Amino acid sequence: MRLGYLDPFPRHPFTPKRILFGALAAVVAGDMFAAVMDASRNSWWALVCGAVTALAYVLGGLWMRARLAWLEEQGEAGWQQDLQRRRTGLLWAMVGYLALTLFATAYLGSGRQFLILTFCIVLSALSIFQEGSTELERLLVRQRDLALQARLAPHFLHGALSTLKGAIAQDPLEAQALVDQLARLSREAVAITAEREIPLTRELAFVEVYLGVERARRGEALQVVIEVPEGLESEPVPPMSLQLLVENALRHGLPAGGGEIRILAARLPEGLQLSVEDPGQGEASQAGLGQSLGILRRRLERASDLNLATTPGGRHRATLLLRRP
Amino acid sequence: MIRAVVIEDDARSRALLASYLQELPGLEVVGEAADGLEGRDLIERLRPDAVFLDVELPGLSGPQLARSLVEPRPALVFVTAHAEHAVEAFRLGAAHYLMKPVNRVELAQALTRLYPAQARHEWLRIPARSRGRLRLLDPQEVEALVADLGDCQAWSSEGVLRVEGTLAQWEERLAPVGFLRVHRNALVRLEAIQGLEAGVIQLPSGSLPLSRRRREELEQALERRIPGPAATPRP
Repeated sequence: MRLGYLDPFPRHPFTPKRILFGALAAVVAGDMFAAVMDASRNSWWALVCGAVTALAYVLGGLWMRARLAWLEEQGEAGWQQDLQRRRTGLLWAMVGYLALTLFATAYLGSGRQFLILTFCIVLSALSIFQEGSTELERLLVRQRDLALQARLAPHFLHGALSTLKGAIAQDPLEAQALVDQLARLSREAVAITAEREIPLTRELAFVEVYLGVERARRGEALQVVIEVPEGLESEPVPPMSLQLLVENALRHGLPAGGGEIRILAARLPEGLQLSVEDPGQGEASQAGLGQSLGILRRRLERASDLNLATTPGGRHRATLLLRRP
Repeated sequence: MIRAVVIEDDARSRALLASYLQELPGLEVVGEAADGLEGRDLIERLRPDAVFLDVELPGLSGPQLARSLVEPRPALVFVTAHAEHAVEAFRLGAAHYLMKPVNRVELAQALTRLYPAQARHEWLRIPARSRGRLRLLDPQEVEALVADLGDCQAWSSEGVLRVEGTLAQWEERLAPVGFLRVHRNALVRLEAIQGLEAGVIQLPSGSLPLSRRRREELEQALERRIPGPAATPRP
């Protein structure tokens, strides 16, 4: 079951509306091109050119839409590969087009009309390709931004800073302790994200400091139960993976008065499973959807390895499967 | 008496560090400076044993100052917000370095490593918060230190007190005086253990789980019953 706060993949640009507009632009471009190229200014020919270009655009747009939708399941590695293929594909398409044109001019006599028609189609295809690639590149940049954000923008620091400001006047010792914790948290955040993988204990220690800071903000009502079997402590995990699950639980699953968060780890035949359970009574899941899980999901090779479920007791459980390579 | 100088441009950080140092018996802050040039004069004039030196300083940076010192040089402890500075600090012959914000535990730990022979029992006191006030606990007053969501707590006859520092730091500091890690989240004073059964350690204030991996280690330690002459921390 998918819950609302799981970040949907950002919408790709090939919406029906966009395709329609693109097709209209293609008609105009095709017509103008035909008018310029075709000295006879034959109006039906311009119409054919426009229609063919528009059709090519619509078909290409639909194909690209399906392709991007498929790619969204693939994760970053898939996008990289696809971009690579795109570049070589484009090269071959150019070569093919040149060969075709040469063939047309050599064997079909005056291949002028053929040339115009194919050129219109190629123009559409190129523009679609270009837009698709731009979109993929945009996704990659966004993905890196998010990774960087998770790494550098210590979003969890900002809330704590305001708690700190309050504590300075009311309880200086508490404020000093909070500063020490924040320092540890940010230092450790920088250190662990420099690694590709860290032992589960280290991630757990990081999460504990994070939760300690959160508890200072929310008061003692935040309870945490950690059930990690001893044998799993040294299992490698990507840095911040558990933290993002926990952050998600705190943000969306915890009622204002506090509650219990459970952190569980288990070894499955496919790999290591990490889960975080929350009371499932947080603020609803509309605005600013799933920041934390979105970041996590984009880092996974298979999006389905992160899923959300409701336990029989009505609690929410986010589960992350880290497959053994 | 160890004579120390603090060179740091930020007045509040300097005052805080100096006050932490003053809390430690056997150590005296003989001078403070706010920039590198002033600091070098101070070092040449006062000939301190230890210098706590910020890396980024107006006038003369910490590393520049370190290079400009002639033998015999004092022990240099760099104080920096950037871990990357550590490498350079050690290349310049730093005796130690501390990360900002400095806390009492790391400071005492650094001094104990620097001056093992002069280390005082008081340096091992555990700064705890008791009713909104700072209290320095003697390790013998503590039954166990327990990590709780990044907080470190001391179980004592006064109840559960929050203490400064991390369990890892305290493990290093207190292992020589009879404390042992019994669990990922707990450090126990062996002398305080009243009983041990079925993976649970009984202490006056309550019980703590014993990790399977550390059971053998604990049993051996209990057999040896490390006598607790708590007054003499070994370096």
